[in-house]
Amino acid sequence: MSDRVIEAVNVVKSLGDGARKVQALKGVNLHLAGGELVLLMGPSGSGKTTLLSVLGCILSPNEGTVRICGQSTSGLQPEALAKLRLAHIGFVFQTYHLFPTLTAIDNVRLVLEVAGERPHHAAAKAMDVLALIGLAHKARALPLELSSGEQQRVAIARAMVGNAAVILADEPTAALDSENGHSVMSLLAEVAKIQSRGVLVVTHDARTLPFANRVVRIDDGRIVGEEQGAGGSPGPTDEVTAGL
Amino acid sequence: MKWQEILARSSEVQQQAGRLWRSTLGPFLARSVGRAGHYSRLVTQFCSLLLAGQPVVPLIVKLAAKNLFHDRLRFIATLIGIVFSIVLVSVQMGLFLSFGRMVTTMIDHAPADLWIIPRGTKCFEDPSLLDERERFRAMAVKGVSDAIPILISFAQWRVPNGGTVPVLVIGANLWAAGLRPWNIFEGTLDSLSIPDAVAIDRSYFERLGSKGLGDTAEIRDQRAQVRLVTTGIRSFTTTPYVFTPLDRARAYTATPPNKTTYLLVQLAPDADVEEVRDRLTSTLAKAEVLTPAEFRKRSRSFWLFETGAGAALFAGALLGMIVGSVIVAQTLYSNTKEHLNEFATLRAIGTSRMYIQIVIIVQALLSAVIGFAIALGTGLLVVKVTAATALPVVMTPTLMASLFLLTVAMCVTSAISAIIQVVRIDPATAFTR
Repeated sequence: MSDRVIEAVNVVKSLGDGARKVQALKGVNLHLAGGELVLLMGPSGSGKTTLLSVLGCILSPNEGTVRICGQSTSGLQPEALAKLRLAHIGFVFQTYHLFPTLTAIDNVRLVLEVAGERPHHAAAKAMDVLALIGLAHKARALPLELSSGEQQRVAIARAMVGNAAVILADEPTAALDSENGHSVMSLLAEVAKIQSRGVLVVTHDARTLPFANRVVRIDDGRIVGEEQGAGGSPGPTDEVTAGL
Repeated sequence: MKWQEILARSSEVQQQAGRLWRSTLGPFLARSVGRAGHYSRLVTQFCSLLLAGQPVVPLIVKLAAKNLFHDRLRFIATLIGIVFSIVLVSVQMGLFLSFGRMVTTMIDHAPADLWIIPRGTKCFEDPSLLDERERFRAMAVKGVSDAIPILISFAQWRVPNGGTVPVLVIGANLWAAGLRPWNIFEGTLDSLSIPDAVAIDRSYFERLGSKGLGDTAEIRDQRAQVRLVTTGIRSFTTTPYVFTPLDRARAYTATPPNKTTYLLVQLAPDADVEEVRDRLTSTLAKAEVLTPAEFRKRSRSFWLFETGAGAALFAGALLGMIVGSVIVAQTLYSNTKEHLNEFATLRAIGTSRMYIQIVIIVQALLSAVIGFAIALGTGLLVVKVTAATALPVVMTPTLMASLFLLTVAMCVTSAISAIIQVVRIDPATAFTR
């Protein structure tokens, strides 16, 4: 494991106003090192997604500190936080959030172009990443022409392509069957292990446990437990992760 | 003591200005320059790729285009809004230009350095009369080479098979350099010296009950025979022009032989227009002396603004713009609303607000360019169809360029509601949808 790529210290976050105000995070401490895959597990309403949003610099904490690759997010304005996300964090969403009108390669190169990469360089890099995850032959396909597993792999490619040190995945296997879920988790585990990125996966899915280096449990806005996981990709490397 | 206070305050103001610059203005300017540089680099890259034959379209353009064309029905509705609006504006403005040209066509074709007109004349068709003595007074003024009388008056043209049509008789001495028919289609100017000869425009044949050269009619119970036919000399009103020599025009309109409507002044070589005008103004008590440009301006101003015709044209154009803007704004707004989830994802992955705003502006620009191209084609068709009518729609390069800028401005302004919607988007919704 390399240095900490993400760190939350005594993070408190309230949501809503007045009578509807809810303290979603109550002094959370969490860190993630490069090269490890951490599962964040907990019941519904425990604060998993809020914590993911705070760690992803989408929400700012009311108290406490979040550091991304050593840089504190305290006091940063929304546009500065957006820049930080773009530079260091890749997101994988439960329902993929691919752009339905763009092809797989365009969905992947989007992150690079937003970051200012030249269009043809971005396209070449995106194709390389799609080739790494075994989807080069689907580069020109629209999301609707891909299976659920392929769509999620394209979403992972989008998160990987910008060399983000951290990948935050929100229920990446929730919408997938067993085989595709296994394939996606294998890919995330390999991304962490081989590319030394920190991968934090929010999940309810017990099938993901064998892939984790650590499992962090959250309940009622507090970290209530932490255990070591199996520590990597179980079973033989499949064709999906062979390129990595 | 006072100086010390002033110096101290001056130093304080300087420090405050410095703080303001460091905290707000400086970073703002730096950010603005940085953003402008970034997006100008994007445009440059796109152009250089196109020139190099590697058309990898920047995603900011591709995303905008895909969003726009994805829902074809909505896109067609947007285009209809733009086309309707711009065709309406172009027709109204084309009519305005055409109207402006037509109301001065006689002034444009009269070879005068100065016009002597009855005091209070509002336009060329205003048939007040000057006394012939004014002509001799004018001729006596230093710098005047000639003062050619022309008569303008309404009369009734009795068609051979019954009924009358009001006409505007224009009488001029055909042998002096006065207001003579131009665009001759059939016959010669000499033929107007034949007794009872008149010239009419072929576009009025049907209205005047004439089939062409040789046809006869009556004006004020006197015979009038068509001896000359012109083409394209039309009045913006429905009243046809009838050209004839000055004396015959007086007879057709019952104008006394010592009366005339205008005097076309021709200057002696090397005479100064302003000096001659001043001398004429002080000499002629019952007349005004105008340059052709001034008379054109007065005629245009009367017909376009005092009659309300111009206001009606502008109101039509304004209505077109409002309707077009509302349709474009509505469709861009609903299009953006439909793609809010995607814009939230863009924000979540770290895209700046400016990038998303540009996506929407590019959508507006694409709509503007495509809508303008269709509207221009339609407008040119209208120009062709109306070319031979009483009031043809005119399209000039300046009007085209203005319409294009108007289309772009209208579409970009219409994008504001969509932009406001996107600016408020919360990237956290990417996790909850």
